[in-house]
Amino acid sequence: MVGYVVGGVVLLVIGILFPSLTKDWTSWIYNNIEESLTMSDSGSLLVTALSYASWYFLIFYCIYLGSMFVAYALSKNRSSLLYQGLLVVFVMGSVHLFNVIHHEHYSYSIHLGLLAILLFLHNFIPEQRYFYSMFSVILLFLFFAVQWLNMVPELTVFGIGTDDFAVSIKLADEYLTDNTLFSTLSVILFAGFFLIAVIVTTILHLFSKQVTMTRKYQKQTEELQRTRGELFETNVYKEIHSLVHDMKTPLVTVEGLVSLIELKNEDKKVEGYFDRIYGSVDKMKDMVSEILHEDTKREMEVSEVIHYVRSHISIDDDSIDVSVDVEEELPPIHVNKIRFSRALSNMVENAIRSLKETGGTLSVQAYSYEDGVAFSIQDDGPGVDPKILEEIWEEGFSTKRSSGIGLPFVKSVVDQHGGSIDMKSTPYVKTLVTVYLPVYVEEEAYDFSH
Amino acid sequence: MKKYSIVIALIVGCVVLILVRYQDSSEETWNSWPNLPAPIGKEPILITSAGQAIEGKVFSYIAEELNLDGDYRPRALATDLYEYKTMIVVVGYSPHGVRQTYRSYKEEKERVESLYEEAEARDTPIIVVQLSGASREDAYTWELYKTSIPHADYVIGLQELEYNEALLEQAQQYSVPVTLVEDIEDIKTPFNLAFR
Repeated sequence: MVGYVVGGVVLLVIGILFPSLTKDWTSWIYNNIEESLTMSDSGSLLVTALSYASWYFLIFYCIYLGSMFVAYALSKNRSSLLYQGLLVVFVMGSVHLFNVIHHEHYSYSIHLGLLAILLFLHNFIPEQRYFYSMFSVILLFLFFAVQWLNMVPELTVFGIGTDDFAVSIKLADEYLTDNTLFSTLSVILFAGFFLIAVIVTTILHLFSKQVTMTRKYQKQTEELQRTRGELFETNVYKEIHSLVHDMKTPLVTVEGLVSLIELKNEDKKVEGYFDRIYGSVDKMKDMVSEILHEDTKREMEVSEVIHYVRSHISIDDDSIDVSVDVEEELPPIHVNKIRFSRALSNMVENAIRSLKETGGTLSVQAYSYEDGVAFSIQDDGPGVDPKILEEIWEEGFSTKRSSGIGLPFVKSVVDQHGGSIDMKSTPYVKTLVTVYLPVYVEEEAYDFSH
Repeated sequence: MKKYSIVIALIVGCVVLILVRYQDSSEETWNSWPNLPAPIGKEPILITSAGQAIEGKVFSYIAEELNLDGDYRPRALATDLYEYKTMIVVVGYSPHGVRQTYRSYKEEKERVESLYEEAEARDTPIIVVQLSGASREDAYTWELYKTSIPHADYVIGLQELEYNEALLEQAQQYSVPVTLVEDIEDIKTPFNLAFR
């Protein structure tokens, strides 16, 4: 904002002092008007008028743009009434100061009109990166339009075109052509430049609308894609859920038939096999139960969980150096084996995926932490931008055009186990995800004797 | 509607300013002499400017068209007056014109005053011309009129000047005949009759 104030003030000063900075130019204009009279050359007068229009444009371009900068710095919103009011005050104040310093007689009415047109057109100019460039183009055409309006002789009685050069040019034209040249030409040029300014504004407005619509469609398409992905995953999950549920019946049949075979069996050697079959069936029943019921938990050793996770992950990339470290004598934890292991696997897979391109080190650790156990997964891959660390736990958030449900799933599993999860990331240095779980304390059995 | 309130206020302000100015400029037609009853000027004439506006140059061509013998010397000094029998002062302040002379407005006014003093001392007739009409309604130009009219023997100008009432009053106060015409072209007749 300080830049806007400084830039604005500099432009205002340049605009107000412009005649003093361009003495050669003003002398050329003045002498050329005299020469046009001497030579009776209306063509030369027209060239002088063009030069004067350019001179005028530069003065008021600086004043208007400077006023816009300062007004924006003070109001901070180009759409507010405060901005509009400040712009009017700075422009009219500068025009007055210009008139006083240079003994000029620029019409105030024309600047009031010009400001009204500019503020009206402003509503249709998109607030984008190139706002000032676009506005400058419109200003150029509007100033040239207004400048030719200043040179319409018939408007002098309305106080329009009363500055020194405009009066001199009109007077010379009156003597040379009885005003026939400027009466016609000025109106045509005014209308032409004004029309161009309006057309440019309309084109910019329509272009901006198109860009906004395209962005909206793009966002909607992305949203649709994400929803589709989620729907697909939900359907897969439901399918698995029903499949697992269907496994229960054949499992009970297997268990029943095995017990019948055991009853009829007389071979002592085979009895050991029956025990193993029962053990496996029980394990499968537990797994089915854990998949179907989120709240189903059991006491497990940490090393067992880590072993289970390792057995489900395959790393065939030599560029990744994996190390697993489990502290000895850790207390048991109370978890839903399938879901908790899936959550840990998820994070390890994320780390492996991030190292796929660059390679690096991946370290999985389990250690005691205060009254619980901590699991940490650390890598030196690209990690996560620290600015979005808060957002990654939100459902649907993804930086890789995926469904964005991986990390929210991990967090919900950890929450269900009464734990907490934390992520710290310095891209390409260290990305550390830590899961804290409380230690399982067996509840005392209810004493029914009471 | 609220966001357009300042735009509407600006349009209203612009229209009011234009109407006020239009009323000031065109409301009345002033009664003045059609021309002088008898010539007062003799040739050769010195045409000079009070305020260095382009009007001086334009008027010099009008004089040329009327075949009046004389010179256009916009920066003439009192010492230049000895060659001429009539002095024509075209009033109109041009800031750019004065800047060309490397003088200030104050110095320009002093130059004009000294010319009037010298002309009066030499008994040279002074004709004050106003060609700017409504174009130069500024205080600087009016100040030059106020300086010129007490010394003038005849005033010729355009009808559309806002200050005309004050100009006529001042001319009446100093018993100066005034002729106001509609267009620059119409100035030729009363000006010619001031000599012939």
